[in-house]
Order: sequence, then structure tokens, then C-alpha cells
Amino acid sequence: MMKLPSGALAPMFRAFMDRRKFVFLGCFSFERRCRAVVEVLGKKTSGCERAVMIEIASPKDAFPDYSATIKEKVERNVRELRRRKYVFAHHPVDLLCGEDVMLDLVDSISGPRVSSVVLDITCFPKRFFCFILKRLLISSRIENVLVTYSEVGSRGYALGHLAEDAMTCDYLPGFSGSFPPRGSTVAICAGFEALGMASLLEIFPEETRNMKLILAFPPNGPGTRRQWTTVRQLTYGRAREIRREDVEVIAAWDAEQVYETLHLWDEEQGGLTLAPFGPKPHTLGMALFAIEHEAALYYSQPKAYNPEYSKGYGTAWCYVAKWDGRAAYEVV
Amino acid sequence: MLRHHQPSPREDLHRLIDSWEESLDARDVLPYRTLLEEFFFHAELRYHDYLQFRGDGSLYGRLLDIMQQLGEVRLQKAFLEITAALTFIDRSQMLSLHRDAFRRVIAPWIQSGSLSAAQMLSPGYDTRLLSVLKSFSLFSITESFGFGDFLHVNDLSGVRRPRILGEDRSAVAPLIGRLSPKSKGIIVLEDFVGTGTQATGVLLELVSNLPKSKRILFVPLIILEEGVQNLRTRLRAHGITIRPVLVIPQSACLQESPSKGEPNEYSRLRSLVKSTARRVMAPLDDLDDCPSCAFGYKGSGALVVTYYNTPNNTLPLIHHRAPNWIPLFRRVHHSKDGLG
Amino acid sequence: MKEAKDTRLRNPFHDLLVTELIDDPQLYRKMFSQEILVGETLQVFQPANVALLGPQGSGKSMVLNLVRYSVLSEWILPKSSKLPQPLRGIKPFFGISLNLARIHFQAFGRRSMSRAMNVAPVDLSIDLSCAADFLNHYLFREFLAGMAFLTSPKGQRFRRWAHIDAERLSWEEIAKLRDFDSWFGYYADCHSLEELRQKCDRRISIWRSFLNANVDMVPDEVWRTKAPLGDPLHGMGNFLNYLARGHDARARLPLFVVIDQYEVLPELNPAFGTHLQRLVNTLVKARDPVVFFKIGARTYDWGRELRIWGSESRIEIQRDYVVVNLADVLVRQENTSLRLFRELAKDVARRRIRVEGHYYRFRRPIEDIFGSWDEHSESRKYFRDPARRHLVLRHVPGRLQRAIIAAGGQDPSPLELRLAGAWVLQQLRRRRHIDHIEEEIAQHPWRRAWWRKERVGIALLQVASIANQRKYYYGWQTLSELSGANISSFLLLFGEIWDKATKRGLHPLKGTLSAAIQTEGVLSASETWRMRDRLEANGGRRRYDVLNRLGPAIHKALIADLAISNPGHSGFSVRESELIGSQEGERVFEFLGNAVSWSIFEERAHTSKERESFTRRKYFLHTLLSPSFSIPYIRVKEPLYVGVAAIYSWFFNQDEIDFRRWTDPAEGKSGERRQATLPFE
Repeated sequence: MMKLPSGALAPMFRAFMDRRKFVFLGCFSFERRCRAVVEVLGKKTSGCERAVMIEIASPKDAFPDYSATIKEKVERNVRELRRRKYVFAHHPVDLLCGEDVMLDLVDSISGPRVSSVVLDITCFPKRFFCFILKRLLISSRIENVLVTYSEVGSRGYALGHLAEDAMTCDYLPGFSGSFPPRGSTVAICAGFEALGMASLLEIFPEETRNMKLILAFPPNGPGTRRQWTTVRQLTYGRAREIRREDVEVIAAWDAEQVYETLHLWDEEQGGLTLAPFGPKPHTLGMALFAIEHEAALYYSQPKAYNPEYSKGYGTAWCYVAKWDGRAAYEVV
Repeated sequence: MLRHHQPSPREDLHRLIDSWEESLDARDVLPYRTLLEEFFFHAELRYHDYLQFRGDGSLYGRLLDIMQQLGEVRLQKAFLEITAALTFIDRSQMLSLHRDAFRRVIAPWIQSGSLSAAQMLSPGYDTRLLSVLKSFSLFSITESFGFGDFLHVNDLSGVRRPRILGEDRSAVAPLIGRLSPKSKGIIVLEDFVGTGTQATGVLLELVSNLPKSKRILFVPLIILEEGVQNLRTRLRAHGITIRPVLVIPQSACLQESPSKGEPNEYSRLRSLVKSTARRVMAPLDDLDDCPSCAFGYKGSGALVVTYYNTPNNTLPLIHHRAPNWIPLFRRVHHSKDGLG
Repeated sequence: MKEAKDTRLRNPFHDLLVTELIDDPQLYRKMFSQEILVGETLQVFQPANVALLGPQGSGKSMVLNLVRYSVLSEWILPKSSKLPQPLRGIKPFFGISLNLARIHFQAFGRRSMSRAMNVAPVDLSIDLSCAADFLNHYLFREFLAGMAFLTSPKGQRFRRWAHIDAERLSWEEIAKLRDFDSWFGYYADCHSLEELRQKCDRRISIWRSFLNANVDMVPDEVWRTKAPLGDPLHGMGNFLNYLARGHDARARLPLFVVIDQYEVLPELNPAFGTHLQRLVNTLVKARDPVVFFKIGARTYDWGRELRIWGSESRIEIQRDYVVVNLADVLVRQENTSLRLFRELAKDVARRRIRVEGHYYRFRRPIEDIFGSWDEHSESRKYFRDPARRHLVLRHVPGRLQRAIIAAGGQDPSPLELRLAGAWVLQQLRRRRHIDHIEEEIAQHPWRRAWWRKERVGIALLQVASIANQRKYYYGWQTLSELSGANISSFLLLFGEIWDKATKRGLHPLKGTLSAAIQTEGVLSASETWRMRDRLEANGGRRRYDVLNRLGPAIHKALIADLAISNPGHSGFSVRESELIGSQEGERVFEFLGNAVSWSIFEERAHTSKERESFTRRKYFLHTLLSPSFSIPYIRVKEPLYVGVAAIYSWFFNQDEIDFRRWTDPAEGKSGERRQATLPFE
């Protein structure tokens, strides 16, 4: 089981960090909300010793090619942060970089005097933040890890596809799961895109014989209907169907509840593999479960992201993933 | 071609769409097939949760009846589109709203951000939280709020059963008078709030009877955007905190005049509502408290259905039973049910 | 009240995953159609390294699965201990399999041992040696599972077929596997098969732990005992021969190793993936006399990296391995009658209906479910009122219309009239005198076999268009052609049609399904085929974009031309030589190859009609995509000849595609847009 203190950023930060020094790790994006948390926490007055902002480069063969628009929007966000006198290190990395590059990233922020890290997952691709989170949690040097996330603004997500050009389904880096694999049930957090979800069931058939679904409701912004469309596409033309008892509905911000649900299913099913296609806080819950239980995380990485993905930003959340050297799943 | 059984409404619905192809370009028909499939999907998985008037026959039968009642292909198509625009809150989703109300809204509010890290991490956190909750008084405005679910899904054993304020303002003062002096404040829950008109009245009465030292939190599980605005405007000065769980945006409501950002198809749907208004709003019988506006109570234009009833802010087209109209999700009207 | 339980009949064509069948070898045997085991396909079951290629959905997994010992043993007849035909002549072998992506092989190099050891610069050979060790032990794991199978009651049939002496499966004998030199003593402390398996699992777990960045180093006992690539496999192969030689010193029992997901390694590991492929290539190059590899790959995913580890030397076709192209086996040549595929499809359908659908008493011919089709009957559906059929002649001068009607006999079909009209327009375009044309009409020149055959498909589309109706797709012949010799598309078609029928309360197995229902199923399947590639396949998004421009372009070019001058322009042709040697050409070739691999395009070699010494390749959209774009699916000669520069602009510049430039064979000139076209939507 787990205790994952969570709540609105400001009071949580006050309660936990109160004058502690920390390193901030975030990710630039074409989305406005990539700055939302760093603008609150990214100065020395907040305790931020050092801020590191990653910039992700899309693969050159991504289609459609949004690179020009994305570049312009990212640069705007970088400029704005500089204009407001935030000091940060700016590291470009490739979207499809390997585990070693991410290890370097983690090493770069965790020097000998660093004991607290704030990891802002708002715009971090899942393949990055899950891996980074894992390394921070297993590190004996890092004692405290706070994960932050900013919701989209009130206008929600773009109407068209949010992301396209999916790769072949694969494990998220660092998450190929225990060996031999346990169980034959996949727990899927459904998102807005059906990208790659069907091929997941084809490429990993033994681990996905049974299916459990987690749907986000209330949603982060309007978009419940799109999620249902995705769910329908999962079962389209397949012998398997969705049963009510295999669907759990959890608020989009509630990582801890996702973890609790997975824990219950794991006990029932004798093992789970996980597919985090849903909102990032749900992915956080999945990642924490996967780290604790050495479960596999499957994903089809999109290569092309819609530069109109979202507008503005909403509530910022804070999750205490590790405190005083104990990961959230070690606190009962 | 032999049938393997008697035709069902589902099959008849498919054939209805087939018949459209004879007069229309096939490409025009394909989206409607998809909408029908979507309806069936939701019907099988979720819409069957709907509690009211289950003796009225199957959902597919009702949809088929509606198609037959509408007659014209143009209107039939529009009705299919409206089904896709509905926000149906099924039982699982409602439970999630209950859980969210407690975890995201009530828990931080009753602790008023005063917890330390140690307290949040302590094994006794849940016990402590429950204890703090018990120092507040819980109310709902109407009896339709599912307190049993709220207490059960949040594991709140031992919390005293909440009281119902009722829409009658005069009943508020006596209830507040019986409040324990130790109570730190009041949490008012409600399942659905439309425009907020009725809720405002009750809450103002509440605040006028409550000592200033008591805090007040109002948590509507579902509320129309218009309702949030009205409540905040009228109640801001009175120190009531309003924290809805799910806000239905204006752009998702089908009102008489187009609103900014509404989907393109709403103009067709608006036309459907107007074309069927007379038939839909005709009183069923002498006892029928029939709607006065084709766009719902106070013209809200809501497209919301909960699994246990349809609010009166939702289009009567969806919920009102009339002599020549069988709705998809017939509403039970309680005088103290949901706030319009 | 809840709706009555859905009374839809169970759909036996819903996408059953191959591995659902693998789990149930008995079910697999019932479902597997042996029609596919002919000719070159049988090489998969012989001692040779084989690359089994074919587009997505062509049935590679079905064939390769049969190599696995647990599946093959279900085929062995209990009494005779022989395999049934057509496998009767196959000599015994022992097959294990490996899915490279599932075991996480692709992570080697991304997570580098060399880097973890602080070796600078990074030394690839360190990581490859780790990957090689991982591969060795994983294959050993599968082999040990096989030994456990053989020693169990379930393995009895296999033992008999392979003439394995049961005494040689004692621990004393199996312990020889423990003592291979190439293990460097790693398994020395194991004293049972179970202990061997556990220790093997532990080692694999340690590698995976490193790959997952749970740990930053592997223990010394693993590091020091890394096994050289291939040696342990050779030992396993020799052991199998030993097992089989209890009574016959010359007996052989080769080890077959099926390798899956080989082709995704470069995608999942851009920097290092081809190096990992080279490891596998090295195993193939070794031409081990006791171990043979069977690698399944999509058509053009094979051949991109043929070098071995540590050398520029390549594995060579015919010398080191053979290629079996399933697409070629099933569709031998252009204009084939698709006999083999049709038999396969019917057999698969029958099995599915009986076994998966539980309609055990189903005995009717599959063709009957869909009925027959003939072109004239179809055309009459578009104009049920004979009085309106003359509309298909509206672009033909009045005098010639009357001549056609007079020559057409009693009640000519709309197709007949359309073909006649096309012929007339073609003659007019050639500037023949109207008198001569009118004279020739009486001989029905449009009925000449070769001229007509190439134009029927287009003419039917035009008739439907003129009638402002959607084209019908029905009949067994049509469906088998639409499948494009691809078993997945065939199952999809069947599944969709089944669904449409049952939704209307019709029992698909009783009577014949109507043209309308079949058409609806076909259109749905076509759309699904298109969208699946977009959402699920690597590179599918770009292919989707190209399809959405190319499909309508082909449609416009063919359907608009009422003279049907270039019926072959449902495809395009390019010189092979243009596809290599330049960046543009190679990029086009890569796109084309991927599109073929993913069953979005089909490819044929063809003989150029131009006087040139170059060979050309021609490409068409996959037949199942034809309904989505209202283009013909029958392949005819003479595609549109284009240069690679034009194709490049289609694929990569997102320019509008214009197929409407053609060469008139009679005049030998490039044409411009002509008269007599259909208006567009």
C-alpha cells in the first residue's frame, strides 16, 4: 500500500519544503503550462538551488512535421522565462534517446549536496519522467522527491489529434517488468488517443489476455467523450469485450487512487502489466506501482505532437513521491 | 435470408439507417451509422444504469419510438446527434465524483492547509481526517444527494448522517439552530445544481443564521457553468466557499441562442428542439408539472443525465413524457429533487 | 428494465490473436489451414536457414508457429506417430522460438554496459558481447523448457515421432547441457533440470535488471561467464542429435530457432538496433550444421542490414539462407486466378465457423454465403428502371447512341452500354470518322476479351457514379479478390460482413447474404484497414496522408475518363534503377517498401512496354483499400509510368497528385485533360 500526500502546489510545498533547498527539473514544451510550475518554484527565494529545463527534440521523420511551429513556441517559452529573470540550465535531448542519456540527466541534477528534487512532469514525455522518477526513488542520495503537475487551462485540449505517428509498442525505458512475467492481465489507463493500444494487445498477447481499464473522471478539461471513443476502438472487431466490473473511474489528478486500484487488481489477478495511455497523474500512480512491484509499463510512443495541444494552465498539483528517504509506497 | 429470431428494436434501428441510404448519398449516412453504434455501445455498458421508469420498455425501443415519432429524416438525424452530445453520468462516474468531492475538495478545506508533512505522512492521517470531518456538520439541499454512496466510497464510517435543508428557506433556520456549538462549520453537498437560483436562496438563508465564526463550504457535484457564475456573484460577499466537482461548460449546453464555442452541429439540434417543442412540452395529464421552456429550466439547455434521474435543466426533449412523446430518459419530478 | 441480452450470433472472424491459438495447440491445429503448406513454404520445416517474408497479415506467424515443438506435437498422429499430409515427408526437428522485443533485447546499447564500466569512448563490442550472452541464455531457457516438455507425458508423441530414446532424457544425460565449456562453469552447481531452469532465469533476470537501470552493474559471476555467441546453441543442437541416436547412429534431430520481431530492433533502438540485428545475422552466417534459424519479417524489413557482427561480411541468400516470400507463394504471378489463396481462405473460413463459432454442423460451401456475382447483374442494380439506362450514354453523340442501342439487343445492361460508350469515345478521341465508328458498332468491338476485361471494373464504378449510388461489393469472387491474398484482410472482411448481418437479425450461415449487407461490410473493412495502419503501424501516419491524396487522384484519373483510355492507371510504375543511388530514390524506395510491408501498397515486377532495357516495378493500393477510394481492384496492364521525382513529390512534398496525364498508346503522345469526363464531387 502507499501514502502519497497530494494536493494543490502551494500548501503542499509549504508543508513539506519550507526553506529546504532543492533542484528543479522540468521540461520545456510548446505548451504554455510548461512554465506554470517553474514560475512558482524556480527562484532562489523558493529554495530552488538550481533549475534544469530539458528541451525535447522530435524525431526528424515525425509526421506531420510540426517542428517549425514547435520550435517557435518553445523558444517563446524559453525567452519568457529568461525575461522574468529565471536562471536555469537548458539541455536539449532527443525524444527517442536511450536509457543512458536519461541516466546522465539524473546524474546531472543529483550532485553530492542535493537531497531534494522537484520533478515537474507537466510536459515531460512519459518515457522520461517514469525513468527519472524510478532512479530518484532508488537513489540513496536523494531523500525527497516532489512531483508536480499543472493541469490544462479551462479551454482544455485541442479538438484534433493530440499526438500522432505512433511507434511500435514497447516497454517504457526501465520498465520491462519482472522476469519471468507475472500474470496475464493488462491494466490500461485510457487516454484521448487510441494510438497503439490495439497493437499492444497483439504484440504482447500473453500478458494482455485479460483487460482492466481506468478511466479519468472527472476529467482534466472537457473530453470524456473522446476517452470513450478510445475505449470503443480498443474492443472494435475483437472477441473480447469490456465488462463493467473491469472498469474503474478515477479523477484525473488522483495518482494515489490509481495505485490503490492497481494494488487491488494485482492481488486478484496474480500480477499485472500496465499501459499508461491516460493523464500524467494516472501515469504517476502506475509508475509508482510498477517501480514497487517491478511491473512492466507498455506504451506506443507518438513522434508528432500537435502544437495546439492545450491552452493556458489550470491547477498545479504536488505529489510527495519520496520523503526522508522513503518512497511513497514504503510509507504505509 | 433467414432471421435467427424476431426482429429487435436494435435491428430495426439499423434498418432505419439503411433506409436513409436509398434516398441519400452513402457518405452522408456513414457518420450516422457510427453515431448509432456509439449509442449502442454506451447503452450496453452504461445507459442501462438509468433507474427511472424501467417499466417503460427498453432503451432501444424508446429510441426507435422516438425515431418513429419524429418521422422526418432530418429530425431523426438530429436526434442521433443529440444522443452523442449527452453527458450521461453513470453510477461509476457518480461514485468517482463523490470520491473527488471528498479527497480533492473537502479534505483540504477542513484541514485548511494547516497540516504538517509529518501529519500527512503519519499512519494516523486517515483517522485524524475523519475526526476533523466529524467536527463539521454535513447537509445537502435536496434529498437526491446520495449520502450513502458518499460515505461508503470514502470510507467514512461513523460520520453522522447528513441533514437535508430543503428548498423551503423557512426550514433552514430551525435546522441551523440545532447545530452543535462545537461544530466548526458546515459543508453543504448537492448532486446537481443548474442555474443556482434555488441554491442561492437556501445558502443565503444558511449564512444569515450561522455565526460568523463558522465556515461554510458548498460542494455541488455537478453544476452548470452558468450556475457557478451566479453563485459566486451572489455569495462572494458572504464568505461561502463554493467548490464544484464537475462544471458543465456553457459551450456544452444547447440554449436558445448560440453560445461562444458551441459545436457546429448545435444549430441543427436547436432546430430540432424548436420543431418538437409543442409536442414535447404538452402536459401529460392534470398532475403533470410540465416544463415551460423547450430549452430546460430557465433556458439552461443542459444535456446532462445522471443515472438516477434527469435534471429539469436538461432539454425536455430528453426527459419529458407527453401524450405524443416518449423521451429517452424520462425524468421523475420530485419537488425536492435537484436544484434547477 | 435492462435491454434483452444481445442476441448477436458469435462472430467467428473477430480478430483471434495467433498467440491465443498458441496457448491452445489443439485449437491451433483445428484452426490452422494446411492449404498454406505448399511448395516453398515447406522449406520452413526443413534444415535450412529461412527468412519467411510477407506483408503484414499474410500469415507468417501462422506458419512459423507450427515450427514450435509444443504446437507441432499436436499434429503428430497418436497411433502412427507420423505427421499428416502435407507434412508427412518432413523429417523430425525440434523447434523453439524467441520474440526479441518481448524479451527486451532492444534495450542493449541504449543501456550500455560499456558506459556503466566507464569505458571511454564507449566500446560497442562490450555491449554486443552482453547482448550475445543474453541471447544465448534466453535460447537455453527455451531449450530447457523443451527438455521439460519432452520428459513429460505431453511430450510422448513428439518423442516417438523424433525417435528420441527416453533413457537419454534422464538427468545424467541432460546434465551434459550444464557442462558446456561455453558456460564457463556458470551452471556447475545445478543438479536437476529444475535447478538449471531457475539459474538460467536468474541470469536473465540480472541482465534485465541492468537494462531496466535497477542496478548499475552485473555481478561478477555473470560478467566472468559470458558465453560466446552461438557456441551454446551448437551444443544444444548436438545434444538433440544425441537424443535421436539411441537406435540409429545416423539419425538427426536439428534444432530450429524461430526469431520474431527482428525487424523492429532499429526502430526501437535507433542507435544500436542494427548492431543487434547483426548479432542475429552472425548466427545465420555460421551455417551451423545442427542449428537452423527461421526469421519472420515483413517483406521490406528484411535485407536492410545483412552484415554480421564485427565484419562487413554479409549473409548471402541461397548460400547462408533462403527466402520464402509468402505473398509470392499465394499470388504466383500477376493475373493469377488466386487459386491457392482462395482454397486457403475457404479452408480458414470453414474452420473458423466450425471451431471458433461452434457451428459444428455447417457444411455448405463457403461461396454460397456470399453468392455469385456477375458484372451485368451488378450493373442492373444501379438502374433498376430500364428506361433510365440510356443515361450512361449521355456523353455519346445522339447518332452513335442510337447505333449502340440498336446493336445492344434486347435489354442491354448498363455495363454493356457504358463499355460501348467508352469504346465510341475512344474512337472519337482518335479522330476516326463517325461513319466508320457507326459501322463498326454493329460488330460489338467493346466485347473483345482483352479490351473489355481491362475496363469492366472502371465501367462499373462509372455506372454507379452516374446513377449517383454507392458501388456494390458482393459475391465470393469479389471478396476473395478484395482480400489481396492476405489472410488478415480476408478475416476482416468476413468479420465485418458477419457483424452487419447479425445486427439486422440475419443468420449469416443460412441463405445468401444480400449485396447491400456485403457492401456495407466491405466498406467498413476497407475503412478499418486504412485506419489501423494510421493508428497502429510505424510510419502509418505518413502513409495515411499519402493515401488520402493518392486514392482520390487515382479515382479522378480513372473514373472521370469516360473513354477509359488508360485502365491500368490504378497503379504506377517506376524504373528500378531510379530507386537506388540517389537520396531521393532511396527515400522513395524506403517508403514504397514500408507501404508494401504494411499491406498498404502491393507491388509487382513487370515488363516495360517501352523499348527500354530497364526493369520496372509497379505499385497499386492494396485491394482492400479500393472501396474506400472507389477505384478498381482488378490489376490490369500498363500502369501510369512515372519518374522517381514525381513520386517523391507525391510522398514528401504533400503536393496534389495528378494522375490525369497519360500516354495514348495509339498516338504515343502525352495527353492533356480531355473532354467527356464525369464531374467531381
